Amino acid sequence: MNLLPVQVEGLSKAFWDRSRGRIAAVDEVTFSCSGGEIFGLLGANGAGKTTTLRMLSTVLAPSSGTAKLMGHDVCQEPQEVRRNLGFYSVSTALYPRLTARETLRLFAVVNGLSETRAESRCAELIARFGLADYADVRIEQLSTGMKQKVSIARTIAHDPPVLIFDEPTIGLDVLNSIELQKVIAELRDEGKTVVFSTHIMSEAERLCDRIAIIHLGQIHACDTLEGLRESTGLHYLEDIFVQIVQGIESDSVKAQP
Amino acid sequence: MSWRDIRLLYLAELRSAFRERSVVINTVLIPVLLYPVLLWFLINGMLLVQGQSERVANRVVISDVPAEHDALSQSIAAEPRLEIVDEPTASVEELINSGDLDAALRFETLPEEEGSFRAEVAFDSAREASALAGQRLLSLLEEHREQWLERRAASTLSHQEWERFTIESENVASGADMGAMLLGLVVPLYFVIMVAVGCQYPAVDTTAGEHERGTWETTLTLAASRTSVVCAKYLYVTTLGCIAGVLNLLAMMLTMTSVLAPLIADSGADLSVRIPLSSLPFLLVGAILLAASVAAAMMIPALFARTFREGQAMVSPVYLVAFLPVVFLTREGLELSMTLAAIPVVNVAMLVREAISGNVPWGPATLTVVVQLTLIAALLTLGIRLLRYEEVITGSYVGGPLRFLKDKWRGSTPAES
Repeated sequence: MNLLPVQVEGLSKAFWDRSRGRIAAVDEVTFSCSGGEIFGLLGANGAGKTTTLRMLSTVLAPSSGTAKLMGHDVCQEPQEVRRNLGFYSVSTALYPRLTARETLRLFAVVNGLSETRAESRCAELIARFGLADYADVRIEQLSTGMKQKVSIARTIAHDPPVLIFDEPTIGLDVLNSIELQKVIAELRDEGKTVVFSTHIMSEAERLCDRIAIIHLGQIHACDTLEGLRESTGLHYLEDIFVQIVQGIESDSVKAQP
Repeated sequence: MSWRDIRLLYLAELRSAFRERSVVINTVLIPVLLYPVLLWFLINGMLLVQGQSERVANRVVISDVPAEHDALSQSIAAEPRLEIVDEPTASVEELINSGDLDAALRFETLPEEEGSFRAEVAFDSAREASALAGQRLLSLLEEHREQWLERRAASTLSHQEWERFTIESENVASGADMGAMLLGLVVPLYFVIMVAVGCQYPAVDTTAGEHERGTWETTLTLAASRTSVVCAKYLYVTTLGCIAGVLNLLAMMLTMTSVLAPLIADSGADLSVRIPLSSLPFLLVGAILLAASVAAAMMIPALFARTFREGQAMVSPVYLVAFLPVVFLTREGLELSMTLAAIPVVNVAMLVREAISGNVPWGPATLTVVVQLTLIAALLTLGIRLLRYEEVITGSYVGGPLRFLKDKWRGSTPAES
């Protein structure tokens, strides 16, 4: 049987709020990703993208449903899941007082590489991202662009088969954003499974092999860009997205008593 | 839990911490420099106050001095720090009380025996200038009396007979005893403060600091178990607390040996600051137990803080609670009893005190270790249990640990994980 790197089934997450009570942030989300694929989660702010990805990365525990990475359940084997995963988001900052080399080494070794393998992996990554001149400089002294490179390098420090990029281009200028997208495409070409969340349509159009449109915690469409075009009769992803989201909102207004 | 992960994370925490100026200041510089600096300020402050007092001339009144004691009047007049003023018409006591006069010397002839006198010095001991004037007058009066009696006795007693009854005082305490007494009084108090200071910054930095820097979630995505992460952080805070405590102890001994002992020696006393080698294990155990319990107690509230400032505010009560009981321990003569050994923090402070004097009672010492280990285990269990809650892990809970526990007790914020 062919193992899918990412398998998510009926995944839900509810939070408790003092004033609003129970809030379903993610509701029965189901999808899977193949090796060498960039899977996009496209949604507006607050749609449930980050909560879904936080559950996949074991930071949050699901309220119900299952999620497996490389066959490891996020609830039963969280450490194995993290060992097979590289997680990049704006909320995962770098340790400012460590150097780039120390950061890469720490992530490589804690995430399962041997000390000797970690050394050679660090050297590879430093060369790949052009960090040689800054490898022994503390992170806090690096420019935003250099920090971004170190962040990507630390995400893949242990050479994981699955990578999650949660709105990675937020706060980046155009050039750095394009640079990052190039790296993500390269990683896909190397056979990695990439789960990529964004609310920027052009990024999803350019990068993703399949796109899931998520709104109010639920996935309402999941297909290739061509498939979405065919099913909606629209060409641009922005139009497709707006049509789907507006359809959901008008349905929910009608459903209200 | 993996020891390999704990070691890696612990070393990363330590490396990171020693690159932070505030950690180095709190853990190394303050414990090392506190005593020399304090002593410097104390000595200079005392010299300054003393110098100012020495320069001031006190106004005194002398009255009814018999002709036989004219020498006394002359020596008072010759004393530059005393200014003889005319005898006032108002009450001398009232003038001294109001501060218009500093002291008064009055002679009274005793009618019972011819040639007998009584001298009376009046001053206000609640007022520094008056107390000083009284001391100066008394000193001159004592000196004059000795000379006068000697002169009178010389006519009837030989010198040997005069010397037959002398008074001498002797402090039988050795320099080592004095040093141990002094260390025993000061060490417990500052030891606890320094360990708490050493723990405070790292405890906040490794929890609330990580939330503020956005690295908390980064740590959570590492393939280490949550227990390993907590243990590494806890060991790191404990280590820095221990370092602060031990450095402080060494600095205190060095200060006492190199600064205080020579000063005391000048005044004729002896002070030797040495801790018996056999006490070193107790001191080390004390430092570890204290740092381990303070670290655990500080990390619990710090877990709930989302910013460094919030963390410091949440940790401050722990600092005060740890510090308060020890204030009472500066009393002399207090010993490590079974009752004191049952009180956390106080017991370690007392253990350190007994270790310095080289006299550790085994029963209470054992109870101290048991009580502290129980406290540490209880606090760590609470900390690990709290970290099972997502609100704590993600830093999304608004409030402190007490409110959180109350909410959980009432069931108003059900755990989702």
